[in-house]
Amino acid sequence: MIFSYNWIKEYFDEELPTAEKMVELLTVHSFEIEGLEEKTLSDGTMDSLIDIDVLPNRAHDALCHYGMANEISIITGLRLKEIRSEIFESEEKITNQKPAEIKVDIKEDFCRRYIAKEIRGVKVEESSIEIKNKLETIGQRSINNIVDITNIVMFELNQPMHAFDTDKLDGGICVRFAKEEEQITTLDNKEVDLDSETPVISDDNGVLAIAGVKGGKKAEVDSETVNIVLESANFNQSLVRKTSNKTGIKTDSSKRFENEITPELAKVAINRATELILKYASSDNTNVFESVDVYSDPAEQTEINLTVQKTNSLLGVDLDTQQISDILNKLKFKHVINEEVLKVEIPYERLDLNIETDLVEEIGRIYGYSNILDQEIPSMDFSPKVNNEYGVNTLIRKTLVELGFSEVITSSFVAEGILSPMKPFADDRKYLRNSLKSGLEKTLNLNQKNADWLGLDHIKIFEIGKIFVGEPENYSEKMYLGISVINKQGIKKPKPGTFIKEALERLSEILEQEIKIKINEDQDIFIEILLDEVYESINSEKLSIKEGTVEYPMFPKIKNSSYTNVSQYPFVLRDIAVWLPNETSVDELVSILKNKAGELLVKEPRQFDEYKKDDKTSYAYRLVFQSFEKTLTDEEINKIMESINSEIESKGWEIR
Amino acid sequence: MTENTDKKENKEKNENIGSVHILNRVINDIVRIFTEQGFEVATGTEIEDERHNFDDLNVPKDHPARDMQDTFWLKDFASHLLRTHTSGVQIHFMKDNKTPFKIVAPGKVYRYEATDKTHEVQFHQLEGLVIGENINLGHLKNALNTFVKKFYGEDVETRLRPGFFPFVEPGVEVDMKKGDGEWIEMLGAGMVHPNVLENCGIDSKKYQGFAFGIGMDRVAMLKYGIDDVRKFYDGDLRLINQF
Repeated sequence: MIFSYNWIKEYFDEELPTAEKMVELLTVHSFEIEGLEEKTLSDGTMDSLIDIDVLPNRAHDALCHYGMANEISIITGLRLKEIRSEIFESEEKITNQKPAEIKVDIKEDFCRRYIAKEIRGVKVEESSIEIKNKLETIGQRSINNIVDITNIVMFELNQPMHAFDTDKLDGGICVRFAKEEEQITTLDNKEVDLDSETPVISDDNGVLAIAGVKGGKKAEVDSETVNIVLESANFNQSLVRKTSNKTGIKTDSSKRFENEITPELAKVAINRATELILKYASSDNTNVFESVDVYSDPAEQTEINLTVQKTNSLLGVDLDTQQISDILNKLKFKHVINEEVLKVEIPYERLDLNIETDLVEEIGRIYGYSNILDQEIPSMDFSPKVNNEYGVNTLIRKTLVELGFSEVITSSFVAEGILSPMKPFADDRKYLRNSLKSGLEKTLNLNQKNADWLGLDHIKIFEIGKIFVGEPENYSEKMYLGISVINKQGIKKPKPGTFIKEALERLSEILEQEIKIKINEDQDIFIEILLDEVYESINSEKLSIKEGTVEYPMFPKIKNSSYTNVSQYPFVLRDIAVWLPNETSVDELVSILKNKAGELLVKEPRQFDEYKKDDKTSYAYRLVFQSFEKTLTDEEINKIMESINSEIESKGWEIR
Repeated sequence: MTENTDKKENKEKNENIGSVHILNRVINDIVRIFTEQGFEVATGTEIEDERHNFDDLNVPKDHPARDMQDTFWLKDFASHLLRTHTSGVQIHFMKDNKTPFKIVAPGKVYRYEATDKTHEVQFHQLEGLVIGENINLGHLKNALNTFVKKFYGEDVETRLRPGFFPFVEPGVEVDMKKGDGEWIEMLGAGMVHPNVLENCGIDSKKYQGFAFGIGMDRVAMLKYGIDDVRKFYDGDLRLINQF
């Protein structure tokens, strides 16, 4: 959520740290920060926007400016203005409230609390600049002063609110499930079909809002509105979540309800909204009515016993009762100390704190994770076993790589199969693979085209991966090894099958078991082998390279310590054959090739022929040219070749 | 002449050695760092049921925490999915084995996400789990410091900051920094939530422990300067054969 620095500042009398400093403190003690940027508002005001990642555990209390201000107060020690108690009193300050007239009927228990408050004689108009600025900083659109105030209260206190135009209501307010085939036109003019599982707010005639999710057109507050009913309610978390998912309507309101908020907030919010309406939207004829508060399922005060022992044991620290008590005071958690046990009263909005370990986390993050020392893991009564699957796979990788095979990892999703995800992510990836074949074939083709770039006459690849066979309910998941070989275009021998056969023979030897796969050396370019059987029959001891311990086989050394980007442009080939006197080192030729070819030569020149005759030897090299910026033309390459040729000729060597 | 022949042979030998996929090389290197410290390797299935992927991990149905991992649910197969993390392996291990233990679980996982340079629908994870009587956050720090120093170099340090994963409490995010560089987000970790221990039949009054999960793709990208996660899965030897 985007937070406004200026807005947070309003809750403090003392000066706040800079936005940058605040970001630093929040990062190490509270939340992940997604971004920080300066913004100039349309009226010229400067503000800093802090994008704070408030995750579900803290969405109960900190997905709002006052909640975030409280967090900042805790980690900085700066005093937070107690606006909440002021708000509580504010209702009593309005002395001439009239007795409530609105009827509220709660028919279902998904509504833990419903507060309705009527205010008559309001003046609907454009919002004041203070309110508009607040909404602008956090990227919200200003509608009118009444609607804006309900939004401001949500972004301030975390309680979603709604305002209805009283004069558009037929009778009282009812909280119920929708009837089959009932409909609502939402505030943004969308028709939504409802069913008997959709929670709604209605009047005597029809639906006013999808409870906790979205308001409807029917009782919309507009420029003609004079009398309003404010709603501040609490709806069941999972029902709002289901409804929001089913209707596809995600709102700031549904987000807060589905994360669950305490019903205690409803009262604070209605008072705050009333206060703001009196300040920004009242006229001489404004009348405030008493709230109707149906609170069927009151929040309970959570108390947690926090022990010094558990705190120290989980965090790996050595705090005493007093130190823990001091941290609880910083957190503003009321508590009583009874020797080594602290009985802690949890603030209503902290729905994430339910058990002792939850509180240990609070202690840890305020104490500071950087103050926890790195401690060696104590020895334990445990002897690790060899994992045959991991061991066999490692051994196969090592073996095949030594035979010149390279390992690929292809997609588990393919075009054809049986098992499939409910929502596939691409048309040609609708199914889970039931063979490694199609993935390896695709890979062979890609690499065959690049054979010269790769400097390979034979593309030899393998994959170790899961395949999924059978129908749902009686499917099975199996680990397979797929081996596939193809020759570069024009290369006839050895045939791909020869390499596959060689690989199978070596694997049988290494794994000490016969791999029974028939192979036709003349035709086959792909085989796959079930590995689960190998895992079962292998002698585990063979998989550890050091007797008595678990140490899996080592791979050959890595070839490069960093990746060199590959150009997306096509490469161009040129061959050159040169007669060298036998006493001349071929290195001399290679260095000429490299120097003259320059930057566009992307690979080492690759020798593909050597032929000795009398006192001279013919060497043939293939050069691969490629640019990172463009497709190379023949002319450009011909020019390079000419300069190579003339250098060679100047040495007195003969070009074939 | 003999010298030349030797050189040629060496060169051919080099060309003849293929390459382990860089992700599996990275997994292997990291697994080794942990097996050297007495960890056992655990593996499991890629199709999981809801219970082992979510419920037992303290991620209830109809809870927004489920949105943190976009899931491939299977068609016509109620409550089954492609695992979103290898945590299910740990759940099975906890249920089937005696405490205490130290394990690492590497493997392929899936998330239903739009793909781009840093997101793929399939990727690789390595999770670690240590359960004992007095295992604490300081021990987690030690395990992670050992890992980053052996894998990235002695001049690399880590920091813990608050994070949220329903299966751990406290939950932390771990950043690392090389020399005077910037902090880079590395992995998620924490102390195993008592509910998770109890769901697996482990007495949470007696035992506690830490868990961590590292994205292998990201680790490989950072270490070897690879700019696009999708390149790991297209089978292009122009990348694979560089390592």
